[in-house]
Amino acid sequence: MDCSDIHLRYNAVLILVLICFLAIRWQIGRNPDARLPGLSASLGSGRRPVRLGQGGAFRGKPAQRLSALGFRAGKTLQVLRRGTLAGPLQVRLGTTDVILRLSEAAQIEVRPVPAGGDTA
Amino acid sequence: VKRVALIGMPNTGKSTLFNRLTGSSARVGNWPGITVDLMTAKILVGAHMAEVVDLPGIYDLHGFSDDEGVVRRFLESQPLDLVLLIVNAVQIERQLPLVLQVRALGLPAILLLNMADEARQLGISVDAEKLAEQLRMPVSMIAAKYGEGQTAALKQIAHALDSSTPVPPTALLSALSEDDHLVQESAAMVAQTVLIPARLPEHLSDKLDRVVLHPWFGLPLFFFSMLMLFEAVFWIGTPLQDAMSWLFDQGKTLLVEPAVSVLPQFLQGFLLDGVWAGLSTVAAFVPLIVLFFLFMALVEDSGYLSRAAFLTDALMSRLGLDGRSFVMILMGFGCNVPAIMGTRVMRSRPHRLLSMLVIPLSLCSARLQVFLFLIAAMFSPRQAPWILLCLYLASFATAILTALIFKQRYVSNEPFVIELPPYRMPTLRQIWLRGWVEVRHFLHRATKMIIIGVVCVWILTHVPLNAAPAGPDTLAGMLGRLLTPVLSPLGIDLKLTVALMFGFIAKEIVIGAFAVIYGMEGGALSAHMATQMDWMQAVSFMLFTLIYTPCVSTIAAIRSESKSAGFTLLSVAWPLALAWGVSFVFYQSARALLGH
Repeated sequence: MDCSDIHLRYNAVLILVLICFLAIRWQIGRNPDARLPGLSASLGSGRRPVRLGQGGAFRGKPAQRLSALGFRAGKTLQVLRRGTLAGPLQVRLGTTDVILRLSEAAQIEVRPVPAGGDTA
Repeated sequence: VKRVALIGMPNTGKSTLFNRLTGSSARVGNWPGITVDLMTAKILVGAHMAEVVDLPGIYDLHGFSDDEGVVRRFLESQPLDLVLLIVNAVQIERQLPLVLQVRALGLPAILLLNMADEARQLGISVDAEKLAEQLRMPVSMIAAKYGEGQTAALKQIAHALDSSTPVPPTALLSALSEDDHLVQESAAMVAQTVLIPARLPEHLSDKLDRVVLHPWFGLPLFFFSMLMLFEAVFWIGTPLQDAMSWLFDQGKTLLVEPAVSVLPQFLQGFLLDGVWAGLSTVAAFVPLIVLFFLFMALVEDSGYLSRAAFLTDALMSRLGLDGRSFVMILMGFGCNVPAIMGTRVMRSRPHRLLSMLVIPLSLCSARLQVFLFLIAAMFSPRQAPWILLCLYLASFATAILTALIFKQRYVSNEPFVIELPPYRMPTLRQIWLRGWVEVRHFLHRATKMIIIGVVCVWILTHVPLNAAPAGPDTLAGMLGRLLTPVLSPLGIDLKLTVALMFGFIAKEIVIGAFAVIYGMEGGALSAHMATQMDWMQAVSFMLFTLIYTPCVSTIAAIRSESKSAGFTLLSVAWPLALAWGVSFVFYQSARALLGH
């Protein structure tokens, strides 16, 4: 048997299996966080920017990291996309893009930006 | 010698600048009480010899992450002459508070605003002079990737070192309460000195992301590019490995054999088949590691690694890992050693340890060779692919099982918040330096342990000297007999046990070990082995080979990356226990269900 040939073929098998595996996960893990309040729920409004809440905007552990990344009350942010298979969110804040999990996004309080105020 | 430390947030090009300043002279330095590798280099700045230390990227001097702890411990224990603060000019608005935190410590500092080129493209302009005035520290605009502004910055550094005296380390606590105040101060400074256009032009990255992170095509594209990457590594790497082993064979017959021929037989064998074989084992990994890190540097520096984390996080978060470990585990299917070294891209120690526990269960190309040989000997061509597929599935299953069992033990205390940098074209210089530094690191850290391992196995299989090599009268044979009660319930006999001991060095040599143990080669060996065991024994042996300790090089890599003997022991003991359990369950139930 030619070793490298087989290696290539089984790498392909490997990839196929992984894709099937992810697809199964997708069925199981579909939208488990849709009911959560906070940032992840604001996705209904598409790419419309939202503003971070005033006092008590952050709860729990990620607060320190998020605030170091510029997530501070009053800032405007925008959810660009959410990952498939209930994956993370891609969020844009100023010139920075970050990805965060739904569980963390759920802890961020946001409210809609008043009309015409999304350049702030 | 003056000591200079680089501090900055992740993705600010800190390491790029470090490489620019120091070239390939960087070494891994040891610092008391610090569990991650810090790169250091001595360079000449103006009239001063300076020891430059590249500290890990941090978001916040008061943060709780592992890296933030490392930087704090460093600052609290080492006297410093100067701090170089690296800030991504594009993100100055949110990075300036870190600068103010460092300034509040009273350390002499210079601010380098990196990625000046990207800031220009986005129309962001910074009044460096005014900023320097307000910060009361020198400020330079640079683009580390291209060396832009480097001469001016070096002049400033030299100037600062002229008058510097080492500042003794101080405790950094307290200041936490002042952070809000610093944020306000920095906002005021940015308002006066930085001009950011109200609407940023759409970046090329946004367009690329629409394809790369597409909900349907993103994952297949990721798998396809990873597949191409691995194929490239092995397509280029395998001939280089062959060349390397040819070189070592030539060295053996032309140089070493004549040189040691005057020595007694025992010493000859020890030097040739023990020490020299160990050296060539190390050498065989060098091409793979260089290539792997050349490609990894490409993936990481281009910004694709963070995208891979985005794409695969849905799965990995359930296993207690993050998306970045996915890339490493996939790489483990090629070779475990660089995959273990690559876990360094994960910044949280519990994640790294959990990944290091999972990676060795990936069916690597060395194990594949053993399986191909045995499957060809024991099964018909029609059955063969299915057996191999089952082994791959067993590899996934054990990896997932391991992650699920140990995820409670290795819980990351860091939130999953990863920056998504814009796509960047890495320079050749960057990529090359990375490969070079990693290989030196591997040689430095792993060589000794690999050679010791190979020598130990040689002694086991050759002492006492009058016994046939790897035969039942050697130490290995005796040890094998001791293990018989443990391994015979798996259908693994004495000869196979000795082969498993050889497999500890590297899985590739198991086939060679069969040849020594059975005293035959090639087709005769295959035919003979088919008469020696039935298919259940063969599968049980392959399952054991799949799961137990991958090789001494992997252990050496785990030891040097984890810096913990206890963890290394666990990473050997757990797969051994798992291998025994899986083989036992398979063999006994197959025997019970299918009889004979």
